Amino acid sequence: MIVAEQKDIAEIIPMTEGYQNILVIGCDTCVTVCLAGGAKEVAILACSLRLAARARGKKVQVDEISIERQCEKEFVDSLQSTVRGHDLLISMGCGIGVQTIAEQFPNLAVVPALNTKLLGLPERQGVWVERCQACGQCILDKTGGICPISRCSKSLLNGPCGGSQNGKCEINKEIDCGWHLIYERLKSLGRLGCLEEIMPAKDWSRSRNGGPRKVIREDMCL
Amino acid sequence: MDSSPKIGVFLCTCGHMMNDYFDTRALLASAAKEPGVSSVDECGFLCTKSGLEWLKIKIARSGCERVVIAGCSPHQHELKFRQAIEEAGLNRSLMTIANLREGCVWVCRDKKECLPKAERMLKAAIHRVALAKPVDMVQARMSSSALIIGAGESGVRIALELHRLGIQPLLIDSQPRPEGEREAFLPTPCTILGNGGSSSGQDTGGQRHDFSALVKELSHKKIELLTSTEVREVAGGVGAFRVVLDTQGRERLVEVGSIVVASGSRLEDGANLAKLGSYSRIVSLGRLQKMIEAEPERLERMMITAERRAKHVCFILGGDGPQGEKSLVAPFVKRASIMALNQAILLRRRFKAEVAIVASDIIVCGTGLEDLYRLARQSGVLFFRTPESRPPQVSLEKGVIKVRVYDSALADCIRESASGEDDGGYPILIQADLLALEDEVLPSLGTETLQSILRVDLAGISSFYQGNIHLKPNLSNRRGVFVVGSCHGVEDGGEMLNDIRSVAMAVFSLLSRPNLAVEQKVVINTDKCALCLTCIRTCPHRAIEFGEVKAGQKWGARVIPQACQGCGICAGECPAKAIEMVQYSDDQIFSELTL
Amino acid sequence: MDFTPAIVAFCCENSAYRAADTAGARQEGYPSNISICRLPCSGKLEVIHILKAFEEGADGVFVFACHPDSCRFLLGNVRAGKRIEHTAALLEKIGIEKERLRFFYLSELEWTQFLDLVRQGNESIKSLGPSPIKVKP
Ligand code: SF4
Ligand code: SF4
Ligand code: SF4
Ligand code: SF4
Repeated sequence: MIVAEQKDIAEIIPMTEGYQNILVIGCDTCVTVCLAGGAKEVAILACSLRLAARARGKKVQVDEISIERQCEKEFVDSLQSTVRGHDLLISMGCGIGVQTIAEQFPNLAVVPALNTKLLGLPERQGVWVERCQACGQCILDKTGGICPISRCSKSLLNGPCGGSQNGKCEINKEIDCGWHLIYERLKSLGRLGCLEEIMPAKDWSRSRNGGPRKVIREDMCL
Repeated sequence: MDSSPKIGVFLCTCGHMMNDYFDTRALLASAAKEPGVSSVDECGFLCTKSGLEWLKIKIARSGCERVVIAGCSPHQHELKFRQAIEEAGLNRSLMTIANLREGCVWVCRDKKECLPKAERMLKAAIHRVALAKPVDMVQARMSSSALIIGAGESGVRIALELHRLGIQPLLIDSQPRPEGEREAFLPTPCTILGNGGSSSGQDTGGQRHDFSALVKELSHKKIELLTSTEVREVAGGVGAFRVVLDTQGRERLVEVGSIVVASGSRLEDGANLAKLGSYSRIVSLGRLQKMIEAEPERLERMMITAERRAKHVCFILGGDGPQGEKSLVAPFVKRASIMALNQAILLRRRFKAEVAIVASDIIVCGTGLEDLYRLARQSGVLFFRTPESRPPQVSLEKGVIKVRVYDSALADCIRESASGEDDGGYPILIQADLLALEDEVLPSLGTETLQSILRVDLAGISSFYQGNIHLKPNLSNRRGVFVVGSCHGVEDGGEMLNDIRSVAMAVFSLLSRPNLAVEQKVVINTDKCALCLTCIRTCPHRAIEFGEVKAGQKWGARVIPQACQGCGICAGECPAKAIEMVQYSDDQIFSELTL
Repeated sequence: MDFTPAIVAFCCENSAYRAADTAGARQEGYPSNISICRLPCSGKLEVIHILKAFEEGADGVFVFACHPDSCRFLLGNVRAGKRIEHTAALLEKIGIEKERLRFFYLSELEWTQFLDLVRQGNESIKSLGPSPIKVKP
């Protein structure tokens, strides 16, 4: 899932400067699950903005709504009538949500309330960790199901750097060395042989380096 | 707004006491103006039998659908009033109490403040009740059976006790056969005192004998005992836990009303013992106990060293004890005290040894314990009390164990008469042939896994005496899951028996009715639920689980009503606002905030 | 200037609400401008409830929770404590002094403490003056 975190309210308040009718839009999917932008947070942000304006001697109208998925045009389009009369939309979806809204409402200002952080999972309640960087060419089959791109701080492909110590990464002692984990796992699977195979340099053009990517499924296209 | 429910407002003047503070008619007149209010009335004593009858009649006559009662605190008669409106045909949650007595008239210093405050409070109650929703009652099936995890002494005993009460017990143990030893760390002091500490070899052996009799009784009573069996999964809630058991690879699903954890504990050599190395004449209390019982000859030999004839044994308890800080925790001190006193007496009597007990603290509260202490003194055991700041020093010199002690009471007089030799501030020297140190009591192996499978915090399993006061002494955070025996604290035989009886009674009273009517205090709107698992992780009572909400449909979170205790924590955490507490919805809380 | 602050006190029904009842029953008197809102547990209290109280014109919000390790629901008080901390930081950034939100641990028996806390709390809110969101531009 996509994991995001809320921006500091002090960063959001200035974004609303000069607007009178604000609509805060939540997303009921990923960001609800990662507790950043669901119905509950929408209510809190909307109320905070109303209070902030009043504390500054202003009066603004802040409305709230939450939709199924902000990253679907159809869902965003369902906001047409709700959006009417508003001059600023604050998206509590991930970056994709913000952009979908911007695309569907070209004449309206849209600002993000979240920082989209990572693709990952909750390690425990309230703590999320990264597991994938969407490199476009998954190699988990060779690494015992542990992603070296996201879990090795240097995204190395052929074993750890020289800084790995006691299973911890040299960048930060709190971080597990991704390659240490890969080694341990392959060892327990009896597949250490996998490590002898040299992985060729990755084709990063299939990752972010090749410009905006696109997935096309011809058989699905109408 | 014809569709809005009709609200009846009933003021109880508490025997006209309220009339002294404000004009009740003015209050009711202002209440009558609120939207939805269809009738207002006042009564002298609403909480009396006739008062309640009056209320029921008034509700019926006025045809009101919701009720506001203005009177004393809800903590006084809320249940009574809810019952009354139920008898009048309304749902029990369609009522709000305005606490005008404890919350208004008795609070205001100035009588002039009473009316406006009462008006405000009554208005809030009217708004609140307008938003009230009926609470559903569900019938929860309560299976009168219990799973007991651990066939140690406490497990076997509680199985028998539950059987006696008509609850069907199922006893499991991860070991191939039941082991009583797992919990017999504390010899009951009366066993020694009772038979005068005779050296017949039965003074502590009695317990072990009892245990095999207990196990036999199990089969007489046809109580099912599954050995080599572990718990794999626990779902559901009190009255209907669904438990997957694994007996050496074979799985079996059982449904039980209650779960009793009796997993026992184990002894480990403490850190201090490890620090002193593996010198064979330094032993733990647990080890010494076993040797006294089972290997007296070996013990005898160990106590005779070449240089000296008399056998000297020294105990060190507490202070810089094996467990560092932990050794100062009362239950440990008590356990060490009982064991050391017991063993000291036996060593005096059976082995004619000279015994010294060096301790920073000794606890002898409990039946027979003071007698035990007296007996030890009478039989010639020496006691040295060391301050915690100056723990005894142990050294090994040419095969002799030397314990240097600073006794708070003796140190100064000894110093005065001493020869002037430098004793490093520790004037008493004990030369021992055998040294006994405290060992550590730890939860049985596998307790952590069990804990995570049961999703309970076995209040203080790893560090005894922690945890919430509402859980003491036997409850877990999950309703229907109990903890008994030495897996939740060090206890002696008598304490264990009490423990068992109280847990058995608790299980019995929980499961004695085949059906339990419970309020569905919390409702999850599955359409809104994003299945983020937050509520499942945060419900302190594990009363929410996920799965098919309706057979064959999409997964969602669902409340187990009989396990829910109505705290509202889940509703407070849900990021999708999918959870509502029927009697504390957001709208209702907001309605009270209009100042 | 004589100013009577509007104060909402969120009280857990297992502890502070009962303490408040006792305080009332002793007829010692406490400021009548304190409105008590009864909750099943302080863990039920959400950020939005506090913000709404300010939006509705509260000058101060007090939250009472059971003492650590004595919450009937084990961790409601801990959750509440964390939430209050978070909300106080939020309020400060919004422009409402964080001193207007107070958090106290209280047991059912501590009715005298309840009196002291609400009396002192009332004074301190008084000295802060009306809530900034109530001051008309
Ligand atoms: S907009 Fe972002 S957060 Fe919402 S569903 Fe799409 S990907 Fe998830
Ligand atoms: S290898 Fe690439 S696609 Fe696979 S998990 Fe790692 S970043 Fe994601
Ligand atoms: S917290 Fe809310 S959204 Fe999450 S699983 Fe529970 S009910 Fe569903
Ligand atoms: S109200 Fe409390 S006990 Fe009930 S389901 Fe929610 S969190 Fe659990």
